[in-house]
Amino acid sequence: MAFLQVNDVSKSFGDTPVLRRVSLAMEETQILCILGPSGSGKTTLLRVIAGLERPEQGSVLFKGRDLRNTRPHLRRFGMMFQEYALFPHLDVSGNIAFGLHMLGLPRSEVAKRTGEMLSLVGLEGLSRRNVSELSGGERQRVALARSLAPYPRLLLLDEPLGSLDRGLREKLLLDLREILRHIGMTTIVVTHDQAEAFAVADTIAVMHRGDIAQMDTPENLYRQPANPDVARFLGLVNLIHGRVETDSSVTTPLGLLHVLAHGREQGEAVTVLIRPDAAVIRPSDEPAPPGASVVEGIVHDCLFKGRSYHVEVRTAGSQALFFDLPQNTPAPAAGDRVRLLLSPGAITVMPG
Amino acid sequence: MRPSGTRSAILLVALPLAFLGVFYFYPLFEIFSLSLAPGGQWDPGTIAALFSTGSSLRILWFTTWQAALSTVLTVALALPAAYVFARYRFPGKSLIQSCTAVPFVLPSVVVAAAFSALLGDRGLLNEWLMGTWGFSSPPIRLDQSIAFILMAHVFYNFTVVLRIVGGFWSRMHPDLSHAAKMLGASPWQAFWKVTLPVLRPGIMAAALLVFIFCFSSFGVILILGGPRYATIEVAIYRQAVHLFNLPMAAALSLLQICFMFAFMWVYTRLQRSASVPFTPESLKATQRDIATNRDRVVVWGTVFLIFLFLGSPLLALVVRSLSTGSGVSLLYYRAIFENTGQSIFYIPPVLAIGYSVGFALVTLVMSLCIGLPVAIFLSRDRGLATSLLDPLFMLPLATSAVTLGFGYIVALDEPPLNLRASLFIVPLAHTLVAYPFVVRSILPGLRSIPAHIRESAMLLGAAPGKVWWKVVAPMVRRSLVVGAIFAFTVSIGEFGATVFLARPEVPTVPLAIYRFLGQPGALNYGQAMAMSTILMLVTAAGFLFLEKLRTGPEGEF
Repeated sequence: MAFLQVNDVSKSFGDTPVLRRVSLAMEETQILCILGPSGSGKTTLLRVIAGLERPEQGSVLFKGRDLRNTRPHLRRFGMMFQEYALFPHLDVSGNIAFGLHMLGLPRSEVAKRTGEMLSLVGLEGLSRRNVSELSGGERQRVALARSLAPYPRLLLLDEPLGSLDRGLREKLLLDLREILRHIGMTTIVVTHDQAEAFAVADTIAVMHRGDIAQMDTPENLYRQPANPDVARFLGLVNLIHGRVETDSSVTTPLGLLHVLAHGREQGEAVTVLIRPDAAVIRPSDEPAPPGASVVEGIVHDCLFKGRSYHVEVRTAGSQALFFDLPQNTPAPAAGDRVRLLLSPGAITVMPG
Repeated sequence: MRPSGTRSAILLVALPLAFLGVFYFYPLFEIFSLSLAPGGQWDPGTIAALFSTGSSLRILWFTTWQAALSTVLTVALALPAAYVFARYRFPGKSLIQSCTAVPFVLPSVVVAAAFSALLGDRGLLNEWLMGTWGFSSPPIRLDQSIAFILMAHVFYNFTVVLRIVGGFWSRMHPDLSHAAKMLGASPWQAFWKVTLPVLRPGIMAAALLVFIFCFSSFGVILILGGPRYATIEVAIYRQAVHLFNLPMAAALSLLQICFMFAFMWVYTRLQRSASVPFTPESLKATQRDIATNRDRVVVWGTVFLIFLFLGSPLLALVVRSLSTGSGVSLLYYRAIFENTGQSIFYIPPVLAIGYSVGFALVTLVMSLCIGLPVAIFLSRDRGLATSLLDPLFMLPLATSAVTLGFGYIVALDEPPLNLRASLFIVPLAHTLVAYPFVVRSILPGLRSIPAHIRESAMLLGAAPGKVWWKVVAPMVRRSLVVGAIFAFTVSIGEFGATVFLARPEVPTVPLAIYRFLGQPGALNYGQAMAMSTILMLVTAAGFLFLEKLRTGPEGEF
């Protein structure tokens, strides 16, 4: 029996369907990330789990128990909102203590736990501070401490870092992961940022137009996206249409590519994904090792990105491909004709 | 600042300042001296008598508790409506919201007449009950009862709470109360512990405003309350007009002025704090469309109840004005144009309409003459001068019309300013009441014109005067019209000051209605209804036209 299970949930606003028969399951102490572009329905799914939205169809089960008639305040789920929704009329410790008061804990216990939460998120000195005087990062921490204080059975985070600026985000991301792993909190994080999802999640569910397109570990997701939409959303753009030739090769406009295509019929239409880390430049006279594919083209642009070069190569069929080349090799210049060697492990085949 | 700039600025405010000095501060000063030194000698006896006699303490007590109770009732009834307007988008919303403000702009005599038409002894409901069930006397006895007064006050001020609290509420993100629920708060706890405290500054501001209006209520109490009830305002009027006890009236006026200034001071402070607490949210995030049947019931049910409560007295007024003893006819309207034998007027009441329109037009012109220079002066930040003069020019707003009218009687009665016999005294008082509205209407428009627009006009070769006519004036034309209509409607419905100042043979429409209501006989009552209906239509039309013209979504009170 799964810790949390979502079965066939559908929800629409007016005539617009937002969730289309979504199902997922997660285990205790897992960190699940729901990743999707804006409008994909991920926040609505989170609010359905919280009980703030009522699904038209389907159910949410917690440890096998249907939550249909359990109102949000009785679910004992914690939730951190976009923009945090801190109570403006209470100070920092007043915000953190709110849920503890609702549990009816004695004053001394409330004070003790509030103190613990403040030190957990590293805000010891700020307990009497007005929330309007806090910085963005401090607000985020108060919101996290507030939702953790009553020891929720499940923590729901809606874009926890969404409204912060880039530099702050990376630091808080690591802190967030550290805190969640430290206390072993079962958590669902909603985000539109792949880097954020890859950094915190055990499992990622990619949402696309109100449905879960793929749910897997971050590694598997990156290696083997289920379809071109997922690949594109993960920032993988080298997608080429082709037809299966043999078990280990696909014909494409780029020529014959060596790639494992087990279990697919000959002639089946597929999309080939070439990951950006797949290529190395090789001199034109060097013979290709067995199993590796070769692509030739003209460098259109080359961007130095610190750890790597970001190169755009146009092939004869004027297909644009993007690669990250290690910076220890000499950089190609725009206009250069190059011969690229693609390692078979970095190429995958998807349906469509 | 360049000397020429200073000179033109002084020229700009010279006339308004002189007007304010002669027609506001001088009468106020006369009230002070009459109450503190009645015979030209320092004598605090009247003031002392004010606090030692039981009757004036009773008046003060009644004024306070009826205002407090009216406020509590208004807030309690308007809060659910404010929620609906804050949280839902629905068709016709802004028009409906405008309509809820109609009672607020109606002259107090019309409101009193409308309630009398619906629930009074001679009202529709009683008439129907007597006709249908055979009661020999009116079964609903609300005339001259406190319930009647409270109902009228709630009717009047409903929109104040709806607008201020609704506006405040719509800027509060619904996730605040969701967050409370996720932390284990029941819907009720979430309301008490989060929503209400967050809304508190808005509720307080609205409640104080309602309290101020009810504290200085005059027409409603005078007409609906009868001789049993008196607020300070009514007491001033009775002392001055019925008992000719001018020192006592002055002492009461002084008391009223002190209270009003204190309330307004607290209000401006509250208003400042009301704008601080939370980052305002966009309406897109806080409002939703009607989606479920429950939403439908909540929204349309609320709208229905609002229209039932706010609409039925006004509808009753119209119906009552048309239903005569011999069925539906325009008898009462025709009677307005005749000088019937039993009429208490020795002129046809239609003349009252003529006088009212005349006074209102004069008021309109004078308010623009005073208000426009003031607005132009205040539109630029002139440092200390602006921050001192802005509240100074708004002071008449914090002064009740009755004290103003009384002040004119005691101040403008001897040469060189003997205006007691002059017709002009009425529009003068109206101008003082109306010009702050003109200033407040024009000022936001003027302030919103970026300096670089003027500057580019100047660089294109326009002289300062040209810049005004060719650039600034066209941009504020709309707010000028708004200010003008404001002045007109304020004047046409003004009662508190007019009741002191208008000569018996030159009555205004509200005055005529008041007199008709006080007379027995179906014809008098019917004429009161007919004139009230006309006045209601004029004011409501003017106001709804204003709402259409107004650019910003929120009104300033």
